[in-house]
Amino acid sequence: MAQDDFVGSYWPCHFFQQKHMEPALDSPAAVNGCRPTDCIVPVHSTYVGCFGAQSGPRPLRSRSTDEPSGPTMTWKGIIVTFNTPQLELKCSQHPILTYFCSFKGCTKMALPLQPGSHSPSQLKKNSGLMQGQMAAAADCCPSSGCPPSLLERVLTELDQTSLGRCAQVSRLWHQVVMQPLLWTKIHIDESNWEVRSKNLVDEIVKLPQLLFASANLTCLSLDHVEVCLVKCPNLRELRLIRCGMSLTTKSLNSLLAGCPSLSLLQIECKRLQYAVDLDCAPLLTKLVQRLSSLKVILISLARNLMSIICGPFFLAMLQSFRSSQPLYPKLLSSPLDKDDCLLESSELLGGFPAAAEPPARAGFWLAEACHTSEVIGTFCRADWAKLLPPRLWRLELEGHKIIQGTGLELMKSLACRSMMCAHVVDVLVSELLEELLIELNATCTEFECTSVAIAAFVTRRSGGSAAPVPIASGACGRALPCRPDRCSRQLTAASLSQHRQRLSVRLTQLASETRNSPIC
Amino acid sequence: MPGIKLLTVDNEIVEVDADTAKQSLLLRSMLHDLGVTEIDDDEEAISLPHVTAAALRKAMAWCAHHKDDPPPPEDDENARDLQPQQLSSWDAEFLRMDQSALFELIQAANYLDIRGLLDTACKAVADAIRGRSPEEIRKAFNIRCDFTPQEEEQVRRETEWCEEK
Repeated sequence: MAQDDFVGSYWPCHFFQQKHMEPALDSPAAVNGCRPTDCIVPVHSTYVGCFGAQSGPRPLRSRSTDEPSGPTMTWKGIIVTFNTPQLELKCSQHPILTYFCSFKGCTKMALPLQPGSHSPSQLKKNSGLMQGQMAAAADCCPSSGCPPSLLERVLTELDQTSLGRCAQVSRLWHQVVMQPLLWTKIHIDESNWEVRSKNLVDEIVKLPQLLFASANLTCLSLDHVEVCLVKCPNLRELRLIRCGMSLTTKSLNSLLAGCPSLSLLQIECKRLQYAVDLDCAPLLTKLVQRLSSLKVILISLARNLMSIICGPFFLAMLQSFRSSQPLYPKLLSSPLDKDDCLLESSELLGGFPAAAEPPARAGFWLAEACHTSEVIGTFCRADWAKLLPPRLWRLELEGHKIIQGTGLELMKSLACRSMMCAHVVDVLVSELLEELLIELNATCTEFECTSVAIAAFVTRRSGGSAAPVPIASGACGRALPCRPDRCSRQLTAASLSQHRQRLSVRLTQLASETRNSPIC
Repeated sequence: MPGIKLLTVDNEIVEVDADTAKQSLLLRSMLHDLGVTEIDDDEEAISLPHVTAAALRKAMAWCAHHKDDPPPPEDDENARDLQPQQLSSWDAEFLRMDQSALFELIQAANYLDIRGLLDTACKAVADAIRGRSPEEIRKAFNIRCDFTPQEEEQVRRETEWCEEK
């Protein structure tokens, strides 16, 4: 174990006198010449032992001898008992004893151990270091300021801005701050400095270099920075904001290879430079292939991505559910321009292949990707029941135009899915909801609705009218009058209870100016 | 209520409630291993060579107030990703003291192994650092700048990128 591993660990020692305490045990096999660390017997939380000054160190033994011993024990401390107050141990015997000897008259000493030095073998290795560590700790008077290890502990609470300032305080602080351990989240923004790819490896910028090598870096945000240099084995979150210029198949490949632990990738850019459709598809396919380890991909604002996302990419993503572990992939994308949406329904008609072992709880979120009726229409023409993963349990759709015909088909196919427990639909028309309520599966436990149209409709329906009153299709998407609390109560009590489902209905986005309308 | 005697570094004997003291993992394991269950007038005080009486009293007061808290969650990577939690108003008021006293308390908490207090006090110090310039930090913590002007300039350039707008 290198000395560096010990930097920052703190070995306060503490001793106290204890008259009545007999040596915990008397070892028959008084092991003369045995080094104390060899004699240490693990107890589950504490080591108790004694060193005899006359006969040399005695083996330490646990109070509860029935405790199994082994390196997996957690060491919390050592209590060492001396059976004579005046120690005459040979200082050359062992560093620990050397240290003990410096406390004349002390009969008992507690040495709390730090995490990380848990196993006996580690302690053996470390014991040579203990002396210096303990001496350093002993020298550290409380009034002399914060020891580096505690300063480090404080600094773990701080963000990069504060850390950067702390580094400028003094040499000691600089030394402490520069430990990669503290830098777990980094945001590099073009606006705060001209950090570009070449700067990241320039000698002048040592810190980022240090950081990229850091095993502790788990979260990195790069704003308008070239990304091909990012290689962080432990990086878990990577956010690339306006990095589209450098995001090509090649750089993405190296990025994915360099960051095997990535679980969140956010790409936010107006347009993927050079990534014309020809280049973009393989790039995204790459992403999809990583879905088993990459739990979340957020792509936003990339308008020219849309056509691909809706086409082969979407299908590929669906297919990736098959082989992946239980996960919750999210695909978030921006509002879709009609011109960008060149979806061919035939691309979706391949369907979702039946999986041998479908993921237990695969979630799927299409947010705002389905803004146009064309997309929804296509989804609906494709057979959803085949297309969706067999055990999909949650689907969120935020579409503005789920129109009657296709929307009904869509919702029906969703409603009959046994695993589906949540539906989020922005705007539904009346007939659609009527069908949906009937077909909602018994396993559906949550129905979240952001549509005022639904609210209005349900109010009428639960208000006692025998036949549902369809809302004119022209009203769709406009705020209809209703009172949210009342609607939701009626919806739950009157309309939905007959389905014997625990439906929590949330009605939101109700325009306040419509409350006085006669419909409520 | 059983109590134990602790001898602080400034040679003061502080008697503390044993149950409260057991929030300190150090004291807890010591008491356990020594079999100390009740106060004994003959018992000599346990020496705590890194804790001042003031810090010890503060730490025990904190323990007494927080004695019914649930145990702190295990170290979790995900937990660190969460937004830093604000100190409770009681803690914030409790920790209103000058920086050197706060550092003493942190040292005591670290030495006594009272994790909740250590976390809380470290947050309080971090709050005192946050948003301050290097010069203000030096002033608040009574630190002398031992950089040469050249070094200071170099460090400033090295860390320039850290500044977030």
